[in-house]
Amino acid sequence: MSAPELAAPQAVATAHPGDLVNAVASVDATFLLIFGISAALLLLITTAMVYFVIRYNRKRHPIPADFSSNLWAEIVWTVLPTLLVMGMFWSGWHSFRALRDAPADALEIQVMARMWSWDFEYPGGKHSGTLVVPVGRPVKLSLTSKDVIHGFFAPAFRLKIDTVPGMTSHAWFRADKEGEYVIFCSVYCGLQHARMLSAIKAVSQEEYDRFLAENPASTGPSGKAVMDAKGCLGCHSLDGTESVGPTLKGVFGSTGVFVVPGAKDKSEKKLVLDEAGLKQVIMEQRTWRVKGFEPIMPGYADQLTPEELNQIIDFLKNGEKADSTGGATATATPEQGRDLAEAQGCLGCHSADGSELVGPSFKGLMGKPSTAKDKAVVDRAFVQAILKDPAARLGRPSSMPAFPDLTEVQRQQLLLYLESLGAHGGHQ
Amino acid sequence: MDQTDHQSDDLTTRPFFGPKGSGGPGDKGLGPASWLFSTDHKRIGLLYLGLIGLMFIAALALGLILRLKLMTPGSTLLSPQEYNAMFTLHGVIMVFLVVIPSIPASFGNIFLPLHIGANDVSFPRLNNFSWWLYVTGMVLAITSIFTGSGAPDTGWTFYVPFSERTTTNVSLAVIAVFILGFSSILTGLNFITTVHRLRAPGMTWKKLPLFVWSLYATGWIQVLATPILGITALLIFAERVLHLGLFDAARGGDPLLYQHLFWIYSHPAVYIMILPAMGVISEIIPVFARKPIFGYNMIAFSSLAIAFAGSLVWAHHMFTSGMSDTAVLIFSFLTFVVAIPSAIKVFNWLSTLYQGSISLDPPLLYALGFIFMFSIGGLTGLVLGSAGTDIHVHDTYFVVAHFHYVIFGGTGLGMFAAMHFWFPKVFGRMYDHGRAAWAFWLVILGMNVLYFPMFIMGLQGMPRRYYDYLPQYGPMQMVSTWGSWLLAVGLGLMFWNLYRGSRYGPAATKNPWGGATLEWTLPTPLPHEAFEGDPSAPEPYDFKGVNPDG
Repeated sequence: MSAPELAAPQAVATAHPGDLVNAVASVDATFLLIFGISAALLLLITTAMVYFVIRYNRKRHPIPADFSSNLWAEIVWTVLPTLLVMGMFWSGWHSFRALRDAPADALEIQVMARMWSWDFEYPGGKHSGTLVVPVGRPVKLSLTSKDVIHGFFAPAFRLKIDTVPGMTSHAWFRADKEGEYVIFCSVYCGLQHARMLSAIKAVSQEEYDRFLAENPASTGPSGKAVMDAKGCLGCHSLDGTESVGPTLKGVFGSTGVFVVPGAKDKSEKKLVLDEAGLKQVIMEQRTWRVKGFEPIMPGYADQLTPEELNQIIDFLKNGEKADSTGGATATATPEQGRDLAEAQGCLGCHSADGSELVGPSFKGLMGKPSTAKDKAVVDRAFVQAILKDPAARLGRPSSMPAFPDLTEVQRQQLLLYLESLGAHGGHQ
Repeated sequence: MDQTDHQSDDLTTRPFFGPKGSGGPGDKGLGPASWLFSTDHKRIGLLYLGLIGLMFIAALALGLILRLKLMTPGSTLLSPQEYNAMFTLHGVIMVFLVVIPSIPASFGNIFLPLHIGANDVSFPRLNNFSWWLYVTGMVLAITSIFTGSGAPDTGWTFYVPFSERTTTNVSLAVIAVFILGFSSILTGLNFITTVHRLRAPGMTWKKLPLFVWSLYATGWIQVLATPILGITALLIFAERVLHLGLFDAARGGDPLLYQHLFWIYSHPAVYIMILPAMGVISEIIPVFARKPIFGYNMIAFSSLAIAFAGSLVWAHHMFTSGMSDTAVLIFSFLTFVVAIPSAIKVFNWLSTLYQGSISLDPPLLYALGFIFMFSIGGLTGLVLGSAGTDIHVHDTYFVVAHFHYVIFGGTGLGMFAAMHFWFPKVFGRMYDHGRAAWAFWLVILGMNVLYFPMFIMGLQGMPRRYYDYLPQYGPMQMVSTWGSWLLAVGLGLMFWNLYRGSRYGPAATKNPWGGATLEWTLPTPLPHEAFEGDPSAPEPYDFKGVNPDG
């Protein structure tokens, strides 16, 4: 385990005077108040106890006094503790408010917890596994969980909030000093609970901007939504089945075979369907007819804005969630699969080196007999089914969550990654 | 005591754990059935004591292994899955099989009827049935470890959705908890009825020993709160088997609903654990100070106040859960209100010592240990009740330390104090006082070395239930493990001393400490039948004319 700095950020004069409470200082003041009173009370109780036992020892004090009540004493030690605890309550509530009330100008970051890793989504759609924040800027977190309850715990900021599936919770903090601060998972969440660590990296505004720019994310409605709106999906499936038109599954980067209408020699043309190729086919439909299909697709030259076209291409290229994997290229690669497996938390349960964690190791998994009820061998279809609904495919309860949101491209990436880790029996 | 007299009135002199008649052939007073199906509250109390002791040692061993694993960072000794199963079992066994039944089921069963001048509880057969439910729950809990697809790994809190998703043997474990809940409910019901119906003539409410008051308050919590635990355990079972979706957000359920249900029982359960121990302390301190208990009314009333107000604070376990801030405000406030009656009790005990004539015998030593440890546990509880500070230390070692100070340092030492106090009356022999004192100092030192570093680690952010930890926590973890060994040695010495005392100790006198409650008027060891006719109700804390006879 690495050891990010745990130290509390120094209290820095706020840039928004009067507006912004320093939550850490407020909580620490309550700690000090309660510990101070407690230490005094403990000292009082223990000293009195020890003193009485010595002073009124039977040898020294053979005849006990005979009294069993004293109204004033009882009033005093009822009223005094009451006042003390009410003071503590108020101080505690006050510091709680400081932890809860996020400043209006806070930077909003979405947090998704899952077994057993964290995913942070920044404005603009960029994702990362560690929380990068600009120093001095209040950060508001909106947190939820994909599977079970986890807890986001950043001791340096006295911050802890549970992440509950189906619910969004909120918290805020402000890092006043550059540095790395540990994030723990505080709610027990199973096997790798103790390893569900991450860090808050507080960096300068410039560095933060650079970090965000590293991998610009798409904005606006997804290409899939556009295709749905324009009716593309009525004829083209995304899952590999052929219908009126050819499927769009894996279309990006493939080579299409087209017939040129009107040409006497029925000559075929081949076209690599990269970005330019796809644009050509979609916009100049009259000249591009896919071999083996009826020429019924309308031209879209006057129906799609350049932006919408780009979104469609982007979708066909990267899939829906591709931006979270970072820089997908034209075709799926095992490396993308590995990144994806890490980002989705697969590697929390499945090792890549043959060691057994919760689930079977990915190493040499392909071709191995599975632990499903029907003892099926792990092949591409099996993995696809497991990703959609683990319990159904295994025929028994499983702690593995389903991943219905993965795109086809992503599933292909995962499969390539699995295959790159060798097949059962050792042959690569 | 005429051993040749075999008349039935012999039952008022022969030891309750011995044969009812002469012990010759045909005497059915000593066989296994005479214990397993006994309706005698004293035998049932001893049966509980034996099993609770056994379970305590088992869960203690688990705790020692956990501490050994945590002595150094990294993957040592246990796999993460084994670790997770082990802390779950440590918690489940300690909470449901040891601490909740501890004092009420053992010493409560034996001494509650005697304290009020009754020969047994109201429903003796139900009492035996409660013990059998305890045995059933215990067997199921142990079975869940070794059967199915692995020992439960949810923690004793069984939080959803994890407890619904994990493939380990949670279903059987929650059924065990369900059954154990009924054992607790029936014991509570029995005690309430007994206190209401079987008090000897003249035994007015204001003449009840404070131990009885504390058990009475506890009984109400057991009867009113435990059914909710039963329902909650069944709901988990239903979720796992029938997939109802009550707690599943994807199907319109709410995971927080589970937490509310769980803590509506499990917070009052903390008072089921601590109130009887407070009752024991209220018995012991006046006897060894030879002075009436200070503020009888306040102590009796504060037991009821704790039982009532303690039922309204459950959500202080949920300040970070994502529930509304208004709920945090209310539950934080109520939590601080509960602190007041506990503080009053401590001040009253101290005032009882003031100007007394104190003999520092082992029972008092353990009782004073209780006050010290409970004070630390209670005062650190203020940090957890305060909303702002709770956010930081919630789910960290700070909570682990707080809980062990209150429950082990409190209820545990209260139980040990009761064992040393009533030992001669139950077994008819006396243990070695010097060894008992040595054991006490080892135990109290061990506890503090074991648990105090956890406060510091918690403040530094060390989360609980972690199989492994960052290197910065290494030194404190190491010290904590050393403490666990000290504690183990101390407990070993204590149990050995008590065992030796029960076998070879010198015969105990009728009233070795000079107690003024009714059990000290009975023969030692306790006979089969306590009272012939109705005893006259004494002033429980009037020591004039009552002296230690040992």
